[in-house]
Amino acid sequence: MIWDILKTSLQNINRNSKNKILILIFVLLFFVLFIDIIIIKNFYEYYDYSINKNIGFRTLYVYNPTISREDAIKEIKKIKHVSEVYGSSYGSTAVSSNLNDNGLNGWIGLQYGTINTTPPSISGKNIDELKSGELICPYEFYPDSNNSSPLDIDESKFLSEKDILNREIVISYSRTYTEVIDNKLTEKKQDYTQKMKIVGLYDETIFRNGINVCYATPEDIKNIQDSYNPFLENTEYASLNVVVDEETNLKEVRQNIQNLGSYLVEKETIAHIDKTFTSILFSLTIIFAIIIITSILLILKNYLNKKIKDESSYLGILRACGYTKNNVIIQEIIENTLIMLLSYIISATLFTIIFTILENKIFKYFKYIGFTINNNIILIFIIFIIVLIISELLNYSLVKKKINNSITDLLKEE
Amino acid sequence: MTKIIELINLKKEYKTPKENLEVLKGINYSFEQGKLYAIKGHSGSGKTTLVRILGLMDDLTSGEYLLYNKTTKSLSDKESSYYRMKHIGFIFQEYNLNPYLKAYENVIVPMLINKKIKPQNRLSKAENLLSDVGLFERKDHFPKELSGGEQQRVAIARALANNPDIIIADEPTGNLDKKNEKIIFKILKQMAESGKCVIVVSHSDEISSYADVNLLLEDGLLSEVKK
Ligand SMILES: Nc1ncnc2c1ncn2[C@@H]1O[C@H](COP(=O)(O)OP(=O)(O)O)[C@@H](O)[C@H]1O
Ligand SMILES: [Mg+2]
Repeated sequence: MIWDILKTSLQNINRNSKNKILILIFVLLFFVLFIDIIIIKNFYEYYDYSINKNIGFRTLYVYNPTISREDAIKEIKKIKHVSEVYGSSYGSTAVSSNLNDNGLNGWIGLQYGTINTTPPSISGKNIDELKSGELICPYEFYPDSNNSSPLDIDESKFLSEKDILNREIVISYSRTYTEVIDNKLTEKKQDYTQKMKIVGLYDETIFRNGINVCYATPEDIKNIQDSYNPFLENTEYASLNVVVDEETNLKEVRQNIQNLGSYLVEKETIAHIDKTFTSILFSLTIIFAIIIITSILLILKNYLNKKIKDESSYLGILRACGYTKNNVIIQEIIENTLIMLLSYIISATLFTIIFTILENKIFKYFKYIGFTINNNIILIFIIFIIVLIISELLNYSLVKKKINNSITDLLKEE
Repeated sequence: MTKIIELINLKKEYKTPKENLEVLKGINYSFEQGKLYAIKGHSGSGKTTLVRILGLMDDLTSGEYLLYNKTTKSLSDKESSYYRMKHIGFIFQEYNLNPYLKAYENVIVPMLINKKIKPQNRLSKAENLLSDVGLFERKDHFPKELSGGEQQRVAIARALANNPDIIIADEPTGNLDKKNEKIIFKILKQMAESGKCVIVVSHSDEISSYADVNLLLEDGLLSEVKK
């Protein structure tokens, strides 16, 4: 019975140009809705990963010339919501790397990492198990030898899990300095090399790091930075990076540090501008999605109202030849579902094809600069299901109201 | 002859804000198998009201309507729908065909809810019904490609889809010319001759020559008229 109604409904849709126009309109609206949903989803992730999870957006730069670094770190660590404090110069460094056999020799960034500041590894060790001499690197690893633009990246040279996990990597860095020898300024250079082992991998795409940033233990970072500049330890008294547990607590922590006296705290992080911008865009896209969904439902409501009115006497005929109220309701629901489903399928297919093309031509380069745009077919489907359910409820209430009229009344209307 | 429908003191009252209008005032009558009944009566006399009650599409106010000796009182929607599907074929003045379905597809529509008809038999059944009304050649046509008379014949085939034993037609030729009227009446006559109980409301004098029984609805009462 349902199968028969389905077949008849398909014929109805196929032969009625009004239905085709409606489907066309819905395809367009769904398409715009899907674009918007994917923007929202990616913005949300950007917001979540960049601002909530990426420590850069919740790190305060603090300076105190009157106190030693160690004392300042102790003092600030006591403040509520502070999850990490470390010397500003020891947050990151860069070294050149050599993975012998694959020809990818180049610069990699080393990032200060503790359990509070890094993503969980998707393979191998986590940061809290990390020992000196070990690294956690991106799942897709690409040491950058010539500071190339994202467009120049040779994807075939990407290193992945099997290439790099548990591999040794030789890092090298050198210090150039001048010395007075025989009353003359002489350039000197000291080279350092060190073996490191890659023991864990993290997903760089969701964490918005570059593709060549590895995490190292704080001691290793400090050693390297001190080698670059042996005076760093003494010159930089208490210039610190203070990592706050959540972005929303930044203000409170800043105030509490200032209350300690003799500390200078930077005013605003760039993150704030970024955050405002992001939240405005975020709200706008959500409002836009609501507008689109409302339009779909309003158009559908108008269409259904007219359709049910036009069909009134035909529905009367169906009732007269033995269709129960439920039979008629099922038929109308099936027809509506078909229209919505067809619109969705066409629209989602179109969207996925266009997205895939754009991804291969443009989006994939975004991740090399720390921004990924991902499609999410399941999310799109869930949004569609929500719209579908609301539309079915709408349809049901309209048909139910109509079909509760007596057959005579149904037939009377022209 | 087998009695199919028995009406006992059937009354129908319409309640309007101003007054209660008693349209049927106690009808006692029985309809039998294999006969064509013609019901006449001036406009507003209650013919449509009566046949809609007979077609289980409207409730009666008091009295009894027995279908095969069983009461039709307080049937659920499912039950009355089932009776309509199984026993009653209704033909209206308006054809009300689905414009997006071909002639034969329109005839199949009532079969879709009839579990007794196997899906693979529907097409041949629809074709047979369309041949019965002389439209086999037009089975693949859409309603807009058919004349009014042809559309009404498709509607008749549709009313016959589930092989009902009662056919009720309310002014089936009201929109048709004399030539088409004759075709329709002939078909209805054939139905009666094949054993069905056919009840036709019509203003046309032509119907009298086809009818086995001529009835007059007057002052809310139904009476036979001798030829
Ligand atoms: N739903 C209704 N509500 C109130 N009065 C009605 C309704 N349907 C019909 N009537 C009245 O009942 C009377 C009989 O109508 P109807 O059965 O259509 O007559 P006929 O078909 O013989 O022309 C008319 O006076 C009509 O106005
Ligand atoms: Mg009438």
